[in-house]
Amino acid sequence: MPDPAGRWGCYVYGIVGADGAPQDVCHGVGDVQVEYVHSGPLAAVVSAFDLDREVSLRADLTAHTKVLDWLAARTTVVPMAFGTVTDDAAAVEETIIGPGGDVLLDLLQWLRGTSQFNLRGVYHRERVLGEVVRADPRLKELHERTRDLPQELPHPELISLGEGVSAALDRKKADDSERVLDAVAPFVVDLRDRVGGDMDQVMNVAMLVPETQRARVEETLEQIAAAEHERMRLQLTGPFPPYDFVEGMPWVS
Amino acid sequence: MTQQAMQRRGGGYLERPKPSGLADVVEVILDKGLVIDAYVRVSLVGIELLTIDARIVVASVDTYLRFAEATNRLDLYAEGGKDLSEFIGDLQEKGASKKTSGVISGAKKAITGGDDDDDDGGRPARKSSARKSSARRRQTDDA
Repeated sequence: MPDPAGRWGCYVYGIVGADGAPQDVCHGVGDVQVEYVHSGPLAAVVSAFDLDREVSLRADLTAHTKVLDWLAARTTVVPMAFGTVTDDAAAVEETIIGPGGDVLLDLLQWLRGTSQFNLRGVYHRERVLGEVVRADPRLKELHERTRDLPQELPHPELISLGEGVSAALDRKKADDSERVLDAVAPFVVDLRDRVGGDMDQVMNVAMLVPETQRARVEETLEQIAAAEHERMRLQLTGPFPPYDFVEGMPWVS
Repeated sequence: MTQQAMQRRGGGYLERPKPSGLADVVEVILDKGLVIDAYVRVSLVGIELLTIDARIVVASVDTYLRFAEATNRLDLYAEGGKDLSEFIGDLQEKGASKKTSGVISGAKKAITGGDDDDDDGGRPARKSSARKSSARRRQTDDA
């Protein structure tokens, strides 16, 4: 550990089972070697963190992600949020493993053999807006009446049209999203909505997928993507550590 | 419109991009993972700021006007009008969310140092109490 005179904290990447701690070496935030704080059946994956060093978001985010990918490739891990730093190793036990031990063990058991995949669906806007307007005589009429109005002026009828299209699009997204997610539901352990996205986004979800079902999930989504490709794109990313599936600890703020 | 889908790797329609740029990494991990009490967690500079700046206002007049504008750029009854692909390019260029994209790319620039290699604007993750309940609801419905 460099410069023992400096101010040091303990950067926490995640929690693993004590018997699952990898044997090989990995360097984390600040290029400091990763260590373990053992506590009964659990181990926290940590590295010394120089509190006075200059923060580099790019480097630190990359290092955080690298360590968690490294862990997830070798064992089951409960990832901590980016930027979790405690005073020292003792505080890791007092504030994380101690109060959360039972829940963490259950969580590790639940996550075993799974990975997170993120699924996004995005409409081809011109096609789906066409569907929406043609399906609703009122919107069709509003569209015809307002199409030549200057866009700079927020004419009330323009707002009505936008409101109607927005609501119809929301219903369409709910239907399409349900259809896609129902198809993969038999092969996933859990689903979580992810927030964000613009007007064309149909869905943005995290899926917890058992290793044994991964091929089925991909095949199912490929079939849907092929059938729907003129209306929407489906984008699957992963495997990731289960970032979206570790909330709900009793002591979470 | 199919050109876009046709060029997918291995001929498949399901897109399988590999998160590579920092913007992708941020999208995946930001505000995710186990959060412990605030006094233990040191928020690295910029992170809290980003989650606030990237908030998207959904139900506003501006939003509705964007929908109206996108809709009225369509020529639903055109006969031999504009070539469809021209049209799409047009939409992608101008129809995109003007109001929010500036803010988001600004915020993303702050965190990625301007190396914005995401495909179409950021979708920074954000904490949502509704998230879990809706996932549960879905599960219950399935059961």
